[in-house]
Amino acid sequence: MNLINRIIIAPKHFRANSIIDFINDCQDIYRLSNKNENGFLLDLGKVKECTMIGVLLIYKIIEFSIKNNCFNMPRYIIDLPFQEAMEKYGFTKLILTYLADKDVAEKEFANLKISVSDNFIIAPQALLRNDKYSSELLNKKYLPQIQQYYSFNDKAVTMIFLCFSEILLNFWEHAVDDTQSIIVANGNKSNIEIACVDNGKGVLTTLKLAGKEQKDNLSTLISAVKKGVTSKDLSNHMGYGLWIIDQIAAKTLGRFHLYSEGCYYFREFGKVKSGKCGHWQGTIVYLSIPLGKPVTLADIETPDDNNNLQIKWI
Amino acid sequence: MDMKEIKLSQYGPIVSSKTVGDEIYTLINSSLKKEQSITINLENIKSMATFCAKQIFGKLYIEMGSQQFFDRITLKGADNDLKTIIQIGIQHALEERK
Repeated sequence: MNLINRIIIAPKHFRANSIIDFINDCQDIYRLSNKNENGFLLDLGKVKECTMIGVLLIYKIIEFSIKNNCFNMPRYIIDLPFQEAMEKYGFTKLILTYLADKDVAEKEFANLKISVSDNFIIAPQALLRNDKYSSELLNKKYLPQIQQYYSFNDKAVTMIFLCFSEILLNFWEHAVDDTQSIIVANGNKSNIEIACVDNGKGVLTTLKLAGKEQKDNLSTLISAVKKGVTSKDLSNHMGYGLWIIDQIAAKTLGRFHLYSEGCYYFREFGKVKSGKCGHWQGTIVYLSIPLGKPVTLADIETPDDNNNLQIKWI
Repeated sequence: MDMKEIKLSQYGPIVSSKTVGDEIYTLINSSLKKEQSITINLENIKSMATFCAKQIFGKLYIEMGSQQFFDRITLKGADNDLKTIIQIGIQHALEERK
């Protein structure tokens, strides 16, 4: 019988406020690439409830540890509540295939399906590194279904699409080393959650590479949500997108979480909090916004009239 | 004489990657080499990352100068939010040049 020498137990109620606990428990995995450590157990059997962000994070940890050969013959305990959560958010086939055969799972990755009913829309979408392909898929198949679901609230669609534009741009520009990321939206008529998680270069690393390091990592992460100081090198431009997301969360009294490489920043129901946490390689963006009073960029920022821009609109 | 119209609907409803931004910039720029003035139809573009607004319209504004941009380019069908995004993109490009 194999001895268990490392165990990660997923939170009993895996909601957005459990993310820190989970990444604290998982941080050592990033130091185990190609170590093939014996005796690992991921216990998902104590989960009683798992929300969208929980399923997404568990998927990313399984994917990273298998792809990077962190463990030799890892064991998994899965019980009914987590099975139901995987099913609800469309991850069953992908996660179970990963546990069985990672090569097959990589093909399964692109087959995530949107489910829509009158009461909800759950929309996972693979972000393939061929971003031209992904852009087309997003624009032709994915976003039109979200637009259709929220067709009764045009301003909410504009707000949601603004969030998608900035989150995706952030992902394409930063998560260059991750080929298996997923963006998920989970919404009903009055609220939408959007999450994007990657194990690529995190916001912190990207800011540092662009010469925008602050006095410490936490200050650097906080600077990412400040209104951007543009870099002269266009490809290194950053900061403005996350500022927009943060402002939308602020003005709608929603929730915005940003985690990267040992630090976090929250804006929740009007209050800001930041601190240190376990190391997450890459970035976690989680947004939950009420749709009752949607906010768009025109509500957040008015262009400076002093610039007297010469633009002919018709 | 009819003004050449470039429809960006195939790129909508959102423009959110550098690759697509590059493609749109190249499309507009090559049209400007052949035509005196053009109309860019934005009707199916619901949103655009500010990065892309700067990458496309900010770059054109800087390269052409404000008067040429105004004289040769007409932007059609943008709603108020898209207008704001494009204005902010251009504004950032101008600030960066200072």
